Amino acid sequence: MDQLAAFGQTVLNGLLQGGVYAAAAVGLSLIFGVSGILNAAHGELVMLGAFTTYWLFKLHGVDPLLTLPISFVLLFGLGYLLQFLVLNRTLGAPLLVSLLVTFGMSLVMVNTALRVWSADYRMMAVPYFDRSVYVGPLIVPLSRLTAFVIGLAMVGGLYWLLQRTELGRMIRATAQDWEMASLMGVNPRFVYAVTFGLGAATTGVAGSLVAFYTPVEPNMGLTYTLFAFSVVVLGGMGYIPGVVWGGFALGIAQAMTETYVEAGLSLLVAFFLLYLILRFMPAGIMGKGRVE
Amino acid sequence: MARRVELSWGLFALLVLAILLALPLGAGPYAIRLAAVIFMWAALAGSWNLLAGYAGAVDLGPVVYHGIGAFGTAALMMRAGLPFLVSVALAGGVAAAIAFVIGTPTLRLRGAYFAIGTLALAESAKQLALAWDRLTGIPLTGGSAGISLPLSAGYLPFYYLMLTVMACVTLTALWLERSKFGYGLRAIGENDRLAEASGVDIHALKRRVYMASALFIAWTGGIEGYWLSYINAAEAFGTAITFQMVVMALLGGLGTPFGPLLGAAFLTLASEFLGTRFVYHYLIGIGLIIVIIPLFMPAGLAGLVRLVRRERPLTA
Repeated sequence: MDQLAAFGQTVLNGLLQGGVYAAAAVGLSLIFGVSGILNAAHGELVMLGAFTTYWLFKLHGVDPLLTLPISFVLLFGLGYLLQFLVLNRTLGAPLLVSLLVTFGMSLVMVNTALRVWSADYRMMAVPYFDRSVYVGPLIVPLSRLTAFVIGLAMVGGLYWLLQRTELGRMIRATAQDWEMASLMGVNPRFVYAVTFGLGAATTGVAGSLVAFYTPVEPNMGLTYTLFAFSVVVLGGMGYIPGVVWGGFALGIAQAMTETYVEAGLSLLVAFFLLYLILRFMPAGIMGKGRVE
Repeated sequence: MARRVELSWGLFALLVLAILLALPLGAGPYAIRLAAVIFMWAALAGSWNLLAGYAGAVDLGPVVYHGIGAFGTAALMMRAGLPFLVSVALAGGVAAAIAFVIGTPTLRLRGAYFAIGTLALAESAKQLALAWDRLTGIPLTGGSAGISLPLSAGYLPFYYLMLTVMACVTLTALWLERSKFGYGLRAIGENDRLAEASGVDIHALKRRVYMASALFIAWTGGIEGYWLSYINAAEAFGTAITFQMVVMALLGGLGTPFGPLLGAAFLTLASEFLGTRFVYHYLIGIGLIIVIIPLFMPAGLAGLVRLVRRERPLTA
């Protein structure tokens, strides 16, 4: 019975982490699917979102939940400007160009953050997040549960926006054929900028969610870039709902490794899983991604 | 016209090589050490350029072979008691053999998928190296503490060793410029499906150049490890090395034989004079350069040289 409870707790931990991974990766999937840009600065957007929440809470006492919309708006603006001023110039260029330009951006963001905020680890202490919910033998920390629910709701919201709104139709049309879309009166440069803005905004909110339960520091980005790549590949590149399955798969695989093999190997498992899927199931575990 | 240009480039390269060989006679220890560091980065960036610049495959995991070279050399020296040069040479062979095994499935990935896959491999290799001693019980990498090597003799041998590896890499790139093999690679870089349809064995060609770059990178890693006499897995397999290779190759000029050397010299000197005093400012500046170069100067510093010589600019 104890073993069963431990197993259940492991799966639950993986699911809770996986929901946040999905939220952190959906922006990467959206941007890659629409503009063909592989954003190497993705994790830095997570970091900026996390710091937004941390500083608003720390300096101005804003409730962490209320910082989420602020994080969304700030990161949307940043993403919109980056695409509009810089990344739109890489359209039609080889993949290497956008990969390098975004990598340069990540260097600027990390080192500016290091210069301004130092390399210290910072942790929020939110009284009402310290509690846990008990379901039978299982323990569900409230901070993680909140992050999980909001994260998945955000992924669902983005999917709804893409499928059901006029803006979503413009984005999808541009992703399918930007020349045809521009003949129909869509301005692709505007759509790319809005797409990057949306991608950055959701990623920033995911960063805010991460700040609920883990320390925040300027170098945290690279790990999230790699996790986001893993999630997107697992779920299928360019297939937005795939990030939920990809996130769960990554979260559970990591939790299983930590419980049953060794904590130090969870990254090895994550990245090797990514490699195997990429090589042998390039359309992702659901088989619905884009194959190159 | 083309032949005369090639000939003058060849003479120029020979002249430079002669000066570099004789440099330790006139320059002080500091300049020689700095030059050795430049050659080291030129060798690394040049090796990356062989695959990315000519075959168009963006490898984000070349640092795997750097780590294999460093720890392979250390293990052969300290466990098998082999002399340093033999150890480096053998470690290079091991790296090339591993590159054959890894490259065969990995090189079938295309574009972004290859870039992400190799990045994932490099991170896996780092985690594996960090956990190796605990997992296998065979002491090899020293976990996160790293390992110390026997102290090396002076800096002059390392100057010549780095120069040799750099020269090997540059010669390989020059050979790619005019051999049938090189034309095949560039055809893959421009359009791999078309190249395959025209009878180029794209997988064999890419694998060979991948193995060659693994060999050179492993040599550099092995030499560097003994020079510094301390290595740890987090750094020897670190993404920072990969990114620096990429940036230098790009800055100097992708797909040019001497570009990586220019990029390595520029960035090493810049970090030597600015990086130590203004670390964050320096890295922010580098980040801005990386954003600006591909957008406004896609041919890199080598393209600038061409422009001054009024040759046809290189198109990307």
